[in-house]
Amino acid sequence: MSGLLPPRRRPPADDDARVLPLINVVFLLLVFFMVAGRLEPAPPFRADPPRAASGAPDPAGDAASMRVLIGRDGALGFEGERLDENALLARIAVLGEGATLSETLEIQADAQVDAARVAALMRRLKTAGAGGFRLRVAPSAAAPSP
Amino acid sequence: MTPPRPILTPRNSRRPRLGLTPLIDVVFILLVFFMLASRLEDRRAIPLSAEAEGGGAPGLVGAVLVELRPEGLRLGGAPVTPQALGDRLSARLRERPDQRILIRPASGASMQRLATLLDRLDALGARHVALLAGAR
Repeated sequence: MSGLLPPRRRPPADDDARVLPLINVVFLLLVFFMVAGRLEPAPPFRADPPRAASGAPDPAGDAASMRVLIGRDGALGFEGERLDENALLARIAVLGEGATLSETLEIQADAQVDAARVAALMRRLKTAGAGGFRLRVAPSAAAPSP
Repeated sequence: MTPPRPILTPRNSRRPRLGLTPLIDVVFILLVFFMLASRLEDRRAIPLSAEAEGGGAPGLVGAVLVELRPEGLRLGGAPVTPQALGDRLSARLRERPDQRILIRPASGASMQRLATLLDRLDALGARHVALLAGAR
């Protein structure tokens, strides 16, 4: 039997040297997740955006735009925290400091939410000082690659 | 009787050996943290503006109104199929590439249907799309 298997290499004298390949792989995985992933607050309620083939990544970068959440149950959220509509409009007015907000607001509404309600909310946000809007979508499976 | 083994050999006292195990522990914990906390799905969004009905807003003049109703689409007040809407809007956009298009969602139409309509308008080449909220 010993002729079938290559002769077993003698383990290195240093025990640490045997775990070096493991550390290499773990480091690579760590770097991958740090670079490819995004850290953002989890929504406080369910808000699965509608699927669409169009849409583009945020030109200003991942963390730049502020996000308004509209949940399936109708709850509103801003920057990861739950709040009611008056508080949301007040926050936007404070952030805009009386003028129009320079950043675009990202609207993440659940796919089941009534679109008329979202349109009415967007109009009130605009009155409160919001500049432009972006509607967050999830890439659909049938989306043509750009 | 053997002499007691010195706890610190001369080599150890000069340069204490740091094992790799604590390093591996920390790196593993960091790896698990980033795997759990980071989101990998790509984040896409469709640019959109909002207009208010009434008050003679300048953005409404000369725009095409598409109504999104639970039972179907309407173009300029008349019911229209998605196919016919595409044909008529693409003819319009060929004449005027900067044609503004307003979408007024009626109560009962879901965001998914709005996103599908925005997809269709994007495929036609419409660049100025706004959402119109009914006066309430």
